Amino acid sequence: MKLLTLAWKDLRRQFRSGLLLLLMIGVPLLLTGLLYFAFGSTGTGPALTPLSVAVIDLDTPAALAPFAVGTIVAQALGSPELATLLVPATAPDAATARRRVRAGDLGAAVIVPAHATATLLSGRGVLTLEVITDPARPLAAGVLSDILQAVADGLSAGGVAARVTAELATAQGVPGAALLAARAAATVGPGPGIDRPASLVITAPREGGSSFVKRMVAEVMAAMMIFFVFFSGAYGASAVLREQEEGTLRRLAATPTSTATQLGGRFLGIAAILVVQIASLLALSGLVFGIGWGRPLPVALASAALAVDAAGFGVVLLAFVKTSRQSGPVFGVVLTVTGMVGGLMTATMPSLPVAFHTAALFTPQGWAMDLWRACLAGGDVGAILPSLAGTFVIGVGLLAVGVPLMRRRFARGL
Amino acid sequence: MMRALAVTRKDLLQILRDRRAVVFLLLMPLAFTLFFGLAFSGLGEGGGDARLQVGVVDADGGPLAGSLVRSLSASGALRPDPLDELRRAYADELVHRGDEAAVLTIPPGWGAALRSGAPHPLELVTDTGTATGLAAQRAVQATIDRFLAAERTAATATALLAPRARLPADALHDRALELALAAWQDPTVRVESAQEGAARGAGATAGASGREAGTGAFGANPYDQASPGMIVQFAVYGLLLSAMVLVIERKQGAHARLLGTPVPRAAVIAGHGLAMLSVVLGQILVLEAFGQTALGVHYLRHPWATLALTLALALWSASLGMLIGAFARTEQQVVASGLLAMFLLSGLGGAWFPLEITGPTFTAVGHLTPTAWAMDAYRTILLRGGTLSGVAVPLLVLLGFAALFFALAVARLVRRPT
Repeated sequence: MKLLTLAWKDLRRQFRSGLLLLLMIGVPLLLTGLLYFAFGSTGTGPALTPLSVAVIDLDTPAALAPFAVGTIVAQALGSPELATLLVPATAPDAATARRRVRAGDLGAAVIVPAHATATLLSGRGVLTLEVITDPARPLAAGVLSDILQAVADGLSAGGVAARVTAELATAQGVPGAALLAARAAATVGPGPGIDRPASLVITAPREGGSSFVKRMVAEVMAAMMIFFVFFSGAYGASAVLREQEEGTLRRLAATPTSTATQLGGRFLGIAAILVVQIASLLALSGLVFGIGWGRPLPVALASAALAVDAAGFGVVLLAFVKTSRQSGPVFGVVLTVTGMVGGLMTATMPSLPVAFHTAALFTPQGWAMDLWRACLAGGDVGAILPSLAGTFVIGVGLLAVGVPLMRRRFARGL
Repeated sequence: MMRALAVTRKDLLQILRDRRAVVFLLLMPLAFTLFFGLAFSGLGEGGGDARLQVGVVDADGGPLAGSLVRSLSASGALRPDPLDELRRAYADELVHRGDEAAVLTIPPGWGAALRSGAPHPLELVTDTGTATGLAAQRAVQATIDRFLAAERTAATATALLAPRARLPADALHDRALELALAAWQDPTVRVESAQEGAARGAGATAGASGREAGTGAFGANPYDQASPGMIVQFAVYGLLLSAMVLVIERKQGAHARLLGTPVPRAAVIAGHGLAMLSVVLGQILVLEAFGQTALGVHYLRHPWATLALTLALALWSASLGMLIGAFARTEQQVVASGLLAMFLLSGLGGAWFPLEITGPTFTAVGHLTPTAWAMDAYRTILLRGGTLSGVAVPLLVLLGFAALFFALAVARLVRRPT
């Protein structure tokens, strides 16, 4: 009974503090919401801010030319299909366009050189379309380059056809190579490359209905939950410091309560705090972001393992601080660095160096993150077993180291 | 003036004699900068082969399909991975797990349909919501487009030459396709990209395609995002220490005792403000120096612009510290307010990732925060080579926020009972 009273006291103390509730539940949800707002609002993943593009057409095609390169480029970039990526803009000349790109007023400029159409129609020489981009918009500039490359390929098609036909005609001894080449060029192109018929049908991988955004939000939420559960574990363990300083530990010792009960009550309190926090975060994130955490049994086991891990880490950390004033900075630094190495801040970042994944396995947070990823993938107990076992073993190991240290502190406090 | 400076000196001694302050102010931001810079650098492409692995299911099995697979391999961006029967059934899972960037299926009869002039579409399984999936889709699409153009060329040339050529039509077509694919390695029309005002030659020219050099989300040098981002984030975090001094002074009654002396209230407020400004200014300058010397971030490209931005950022951050210190009653409230401010302002303001990749709505909301303007100014200086006039607007916005926060803090400090 005393055990429960002590645990209830710690639980009440923790949850009646608005600040702690904010850090335990509010901030993880807030940070996940922030990233959801940043990347999830489109429902299809990251969306680029449209890039304003001006086409500077220096070309003056002959009146009888069958097409004009500048017109094809301008029409392609101004296509309604690209309205979410590119916004047509104007600039009187190349120098102004450069100046405006440098100032950030214009996202990019495409310069169609003088005699572009004549060069293409002659089949001789290379036509170069120059793209000036804003270095502060590298991703959008990459997209523009890809689009323009497709347009350029459309323009090249006629030239390639002429070259191949002429070469083959000569090799095969067919007379009139030049005429045949011109006919081939006229048949094949040019035309804007983005108006091609659908040559590729793209489908997203089936993964139980989980889209990229859902997966990203779920992994970010898992990372935030782990980070702040570890914080709560450390803060819960540090309650003993405050009681030592306030003298309540001595008063407790004056009552007929054994050290084992005091310690047990403390651990039960920490465990209860963590379980309530985890359950709240799982439920609220499910409601707010629609995260499906996985099957009930694996999720329950993962929650228990996370609580053991966080409590063990908190108890071990306690050995490195003497006063409650020291605990804030020490916990802050250690939990931030281990969380960072454990991959909690790069949970959804693609193409991370392999060393990052290896380093994560040296931290309890890294194992916990693996465990929750396995749960989110919908794995059964068998599927999550390796990371579950790893997380439990680390947690129990940390408790085995931390409990004697905490017992010593109790003894000192008496 | 001397009295204000005495208050400043007292605050600085109080903050800096605690060695943990150095950890908060300098070591943490340095660690975060290095970590995120490395994470953004994309070193994880693995084993020196940066090509994207794309699983290929060749259900057609004909010569044209074989030729397409060879074209994918020759593209330079892709590494085709022929899938056996067993792995074909798990194409979705292979992509989902990240074992393959994409899986391309060439359906049965694709080659014959292509020859007949009515090509069937190919099927690509990939997650275009991820950077890898998007890159794979673009590279596959570009290769297929060129392949189809080559096939159109071969068909056209064959139709024109077959009646009078020595080779039979099929052989002529194969030869024409071979020549066309080779010709596409050196097309008639090229695209050359150049970044206007970019600092580094290596990152300034992207060659024929935006994928080729330094055009990822974080640019040529990932520290161009990580270094200023962490400076902005920890300028907010660092003010916790300064704000804490105000609260502790008030709680311990030192503030009331100070006001009992002939030191005017204005001198006390000015002294505290100057201390906060000095701490944040010192922190930013050290982090910029580290970025310049160790990480290749060109803060000194336009020193006056950087100096003006540093001052404006420090002024804003110090005024936020004053505001929190003026309103908070306990140390816990300082910590909570500081952490909330740091997370919200950093996330919304583009300190963690460029606002470019968040879409117009988030970008617009982000610009309600001073951090977004600070990041804009840093990016203008570092990436566009912007001068003092180029960052005038962000500087004015930062100074406006600083004035607003400082005025609110002073109003609170003046009215607050001692």
